Amino acid sequence: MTGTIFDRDSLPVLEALVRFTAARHKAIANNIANVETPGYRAIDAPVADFKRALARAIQAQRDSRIGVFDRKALDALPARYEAARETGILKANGNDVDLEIEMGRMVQNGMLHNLSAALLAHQFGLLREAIGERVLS
Amino acid sequence: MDVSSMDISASGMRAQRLRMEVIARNLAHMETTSVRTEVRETADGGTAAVHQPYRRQRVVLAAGPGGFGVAVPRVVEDGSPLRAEHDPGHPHAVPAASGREDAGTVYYPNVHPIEEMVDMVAASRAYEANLSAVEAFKAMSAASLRILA
Repeated sequence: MTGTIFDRDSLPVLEALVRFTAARHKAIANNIANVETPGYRAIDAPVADFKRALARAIQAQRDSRIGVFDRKALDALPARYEAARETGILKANGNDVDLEIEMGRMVQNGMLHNLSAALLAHQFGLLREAIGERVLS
Repeated sequence: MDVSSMDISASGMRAQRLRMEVIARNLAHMETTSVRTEVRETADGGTAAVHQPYRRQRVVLAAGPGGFGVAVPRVVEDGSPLRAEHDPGHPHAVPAASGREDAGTVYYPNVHPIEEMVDMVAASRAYEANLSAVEAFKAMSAASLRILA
């Protein structure tokens, strides 16, 4: 496996983060929308699985001499959702969504998304500078 | 199955706004003693109109297709007992000619203003929570779009 310039360094990792946090926001938005729906149980993106897969992929990237990131290991992950690990108490109507937990999760997730996107933009900027043969001011 | 975060939040906001509308309707009809009349034949061959008061309406929420979003909510009638008051002079009282045991009783809607107020605060907060989810989504999308810049 060779890979392009976009499969090296932190670019693919940041890309995976942006995609995962976007998918996770969907789960959080769903929990908030269903905060009063009887029988609804909070869902979340598979955070633990994602972390594990990402750590493995980064380690593999470091171990390989050419430093290419394997995207395939992460591609399947954000497509599915699981029951949330941390939820509020189960209410009498069978709903376990806690608005405070979801809000906290949403802010944290949003910040991670924005940070990853900003770093990604910066990485592309660096590439652009390199292509333009200019020195960063 | 692919619904966006925005659609999900929008379905939540729609559900909460419908709740708000139903609460407003309930409060407006708190004292409405006649929304329809049932004409009954009396023992002496005449007719007597029995007035039916407004009944409290409530929104039933359910998760949307595939578990995403909130389904289009249903509005159902609350079956709890009506408030009865003895007031034979009231034009909507059960007429004596109807021959019913409760003749002279006026039935008032089963709307309790305090319940409605509590519901209203809950609906308002839930609406705001969905709104902040939309705001967060907008900020995230903007950050993603800045990758292009």
